[in-house]
Parts: sequence; C-alpha cells; structure tokens
Amino acid sequence: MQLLKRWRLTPSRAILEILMIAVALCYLIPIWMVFSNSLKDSTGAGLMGLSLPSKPVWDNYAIVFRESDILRGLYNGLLLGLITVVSNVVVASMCSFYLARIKRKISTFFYNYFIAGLIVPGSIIPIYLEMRILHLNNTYIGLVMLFVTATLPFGIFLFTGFIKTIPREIDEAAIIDGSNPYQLYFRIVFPLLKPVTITVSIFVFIAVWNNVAYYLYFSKSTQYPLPLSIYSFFGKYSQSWNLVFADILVGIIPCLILFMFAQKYMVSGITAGAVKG
Amino acid sequence: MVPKMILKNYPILFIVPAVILYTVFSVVPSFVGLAAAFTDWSTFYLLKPTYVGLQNFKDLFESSGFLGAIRHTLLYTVLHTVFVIALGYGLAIILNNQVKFKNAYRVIIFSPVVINPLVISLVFSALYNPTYGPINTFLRKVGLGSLAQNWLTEPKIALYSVIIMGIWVGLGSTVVIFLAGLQSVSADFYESATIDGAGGFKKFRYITLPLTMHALTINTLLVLISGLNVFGEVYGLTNGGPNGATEVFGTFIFANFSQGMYGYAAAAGLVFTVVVSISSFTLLGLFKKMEVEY
Repeated sequence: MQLLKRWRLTPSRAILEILMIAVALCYLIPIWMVFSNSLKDSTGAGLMGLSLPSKPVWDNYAIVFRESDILRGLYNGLLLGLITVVSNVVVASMCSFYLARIKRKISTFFYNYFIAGLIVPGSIIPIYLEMRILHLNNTYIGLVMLFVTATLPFGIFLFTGFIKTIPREIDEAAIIDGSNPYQLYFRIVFPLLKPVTITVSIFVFIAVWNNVAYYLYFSKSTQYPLPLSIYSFFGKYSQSWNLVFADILVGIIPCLILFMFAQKYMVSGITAGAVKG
Repeated sequence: MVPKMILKNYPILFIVPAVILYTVFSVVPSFVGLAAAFTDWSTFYLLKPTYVGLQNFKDLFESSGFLGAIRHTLLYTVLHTVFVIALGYGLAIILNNQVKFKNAYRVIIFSPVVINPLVISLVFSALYNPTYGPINTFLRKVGLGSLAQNWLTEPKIALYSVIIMGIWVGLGSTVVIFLAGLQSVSADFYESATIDGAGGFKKFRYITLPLTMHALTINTLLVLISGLNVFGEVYGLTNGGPNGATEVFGTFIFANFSQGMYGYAAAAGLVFTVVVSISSFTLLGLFKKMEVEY
C-alpha cells in the first residue's frame, strides 16, 4: 500500500513542506497581527508591527466592552441566527420529506423550483419594494423571513438528498403501526435526519451571522449582528487600531469556537453535498 | 406502485410553508418587482413611479460607472476563479499526500470561511496600509522596497489587492471539496498505472483529472458564483474606490440604492441577475459534457 510507506525526507518533499508552511503563515500572520496589536497603546498599534508589546495593555478589552456594541451584536446575531436555523430546518426538512418520497411531476417541478435559487441571485431592490409595502423593513421578523427564504434552496438540496437514503420501509412500518402523517414525520423520520440537520444548521447560522448585504439593505444599525457592529465601531474609532483590533478579536472568538466544534460537520457537509450530489 | 394508503401519509401540506415563503420573498419580487426597473421609482417619486421604458437601461449603459462595474466584476470573477481553482487543486493534491500536519493546514486554510467578509476586510486594510502595513514592511525588509505600494489607493492596483484578499478567503472550501474528490479515487488505479509504467504526469492526466472532474465542476461553479456575487469584501475594503476603480455590481447597486435611485438600481440588478444566470448555466452545461464515469 502506497499510503503506509514510511515518511522519508527527499528534496521534493522538503520543498512541499516549506511551501505548506509558507501558505500556513499567510493565514496565521493576519490573526497574529490582530492579537499582538490589540495589546498595544494607540501609537504602538498604529505602527502595526508584529512583535508583542513589552507591557500589554489589557485595558483595551475593557474599553471595547464598555464602548462598543458587542453584547447587543451578540444578542442580535444569536437571536436572528437561531430563529432562522430552527425555521429553516423545520420548513426545509418537511418540504424535502414530501419531495423525496412522492415521485410525481409536482415533486420534480418544485425541487427544480427551489434548486434554481442556488444559482440565480435574489433581486434585492424588488425585495426592498415588497418589504416596504408589507412594512417589514427594519423588523426582526422581516429579516428572518428573508434569511429563511435565502437559505431554503441549500437546506432543501441537502435534506432531499439525505432523505432519499432513508429506506421507505421505515415509513411503512410506522404507518402500519398506526401513526398519522405528523407522528410519522416528527417522531420517526425527523430524528433520523440528525447528521444533515447539524450540517444545515451550521451553514445557515454562519450565513446569517456573516451576511452583509441584507443587513445594510433591510435593517437599522441597532439590529446589526456582532460582525457588523465591529464595522460600525471601526467607523467611530478608525484612529485607534488597538481598540479596533481588540474588538475584532473579541468578535471573531465566538465564530472560531463554533468553528472548532463545527469543523467536522462543515467539512463532511460540504463533501457530501458537493461530491456525491 | 406505492399503495394509496401509504401515499396518503405524505400530505402536500408539508411543502406549503416552503413554497409560500420562497414564492413570496424570492420568486414574486424577482418577476413582478422587475417592473421597478422600467420606472423612475426613487425617493423623489416614491409613491408615484411612472413607466419610463428602457430609459434606465439606456442610462446604465451610457454611464462609465456601470460599464466599469461590469468590467471589474468580470475581471474579479475570472482571476478569482482561475487562481482559487488552480491553487486550491494544487494545495489539495499536496495535502492528499504525506505532508506533515496536513490536518492542521486544512483547518487553518478553511478558517476564514467562518469570519465575516467585512471583518476580514478590516484586517486586510491594516495589512495593506502603505506606511506601516506588514506587507510593505516585509517587502522593505527583504530589499524589495521598490515593490511596496499604495495597495488600496492606487487605482491601477486596488482591484488586484481586492482580488488577492478574495483568493485568500475563497481557498478553504475549495480545498476541502477537492480533497474529498481526490480521496474518492481508488488507489488501485494508481497501482495498475504504476505497473503499466505510467509517470506522474500521465497518472494525473489520465486518472486524477478525469476522476475528480465532478469536484472540479462543483468547485468552479461555486467559486464563479461567489465571484460574481462579491459584495462585502469590496464594500469593506474600498467601497468601490478609489474613484470607481474597484466598483463591482454589488457596490454599484448599493451606492445607487443609498442615493434613493431605486428604479435605476433595480435595472442594474436585473442586468446582474441575467449575467450571473447565463454564466452559471453555460458553465454547468459545459462541464456536464466533460464529466466521465469509470
């Protein structure tokens, strides 16, 4: 087996190792710059050097917590993210259950109807017009509706693919045992969807958390999630890079924590969706 | 045939919420709301938009701003796609072999996927700082001071600086998909090719490339769409400046929307939708023809 061959250092291998270290540095240096400069005073951070300060200014973090909208941003992001995730999972998985099980023209039509949304971009100005008419601009409920809609094609794509791999005999056994359609779905089928539910949830949450355009078009700044509140903070404090860097670091930590837990599911989700799909 | 008694247990009610939401908040605005593109709707004529025919489109294609936005979006998309695909494929092949710490590299390269483009653009505006930014500092230190640039304020360079950041952001998910494709190629193919005396290039050309064609299709399509849709990165880094040198569809539409020119922005959005749809479906068709099954 090729894979079990012992690792030996050859010139070509050394080049690859050095190349990969260089690539990794391209990703690590920006994070390091943010960290080291978040501990400097305003003059020191303005120089953007990569060395650690001799006397770290931990006070920057206290100022950031006092002056920036971190907590409100966290609240907005979690509220919108979680409501969108729950709505998406319920709406998309139920729809997919029908689309995957019923083999009729109507399923094919609606499957393609949704999947087209993966490619065709949403027309944002007409949506703005409609949101205005419905008085949904600058409301949380309006944002949630838009986010659920925007993430539906992706959810339906993954859920339908997964449900097709669940044997129909399970449904039939439940039906013969006397469960009604809703018991069949919520008690029997939905629990089996756990792996794909986790993947969809993570992607939908990140899509809401990291969105830029929808917040700029359809919400006011008090509804911004954490990342956008960092950007507003930068607008006010662009002369104090130490505070900006501290704010950035505090702002990306929740994402990186989520990422560490979610990485496995994100990768397997991307893989299953892209390579098998 | 599935018996009727079983079919009854999949009520059509299950698809109703999804269909309503998607139709009301995506399809209806896309079709009916298109009318806005043919009106003078703006903050000035907010309640009484009148039909102006193709005037908005005529104005768009006569304005240098919109033509620039089309040109920059296409240039961004082409360079971004070529580099992300080529580098991503190369990195995936390296990471598929026996490099030490390959899992760590994979996680590191993937991590920007979870960070907001606006936040990434703030970090890059510091990296690109002409006086103190680490990039210019590094160039001066290694004796390449003549290459130090005003990365974001020099009109000839700004778009390329944005593209470089886009490549940095986009590599992670591309590498993951390529890796998955590479790992699905059975080692048996390579063994028999080695016995037949095939060299490295031949193995790549006749085994790896055809068998990872599906991953290549998906990746190219995803990267292409993300390139055409670029907004947060450009908005955060340059907001279309200096002097329109990095204006793309997304920033152009938002700038006109912010000035209250809704009809005009809707017309630009319509052109954008057409461009994205045509490019994506063309590419999809092209790749579908090239895929093979072994």
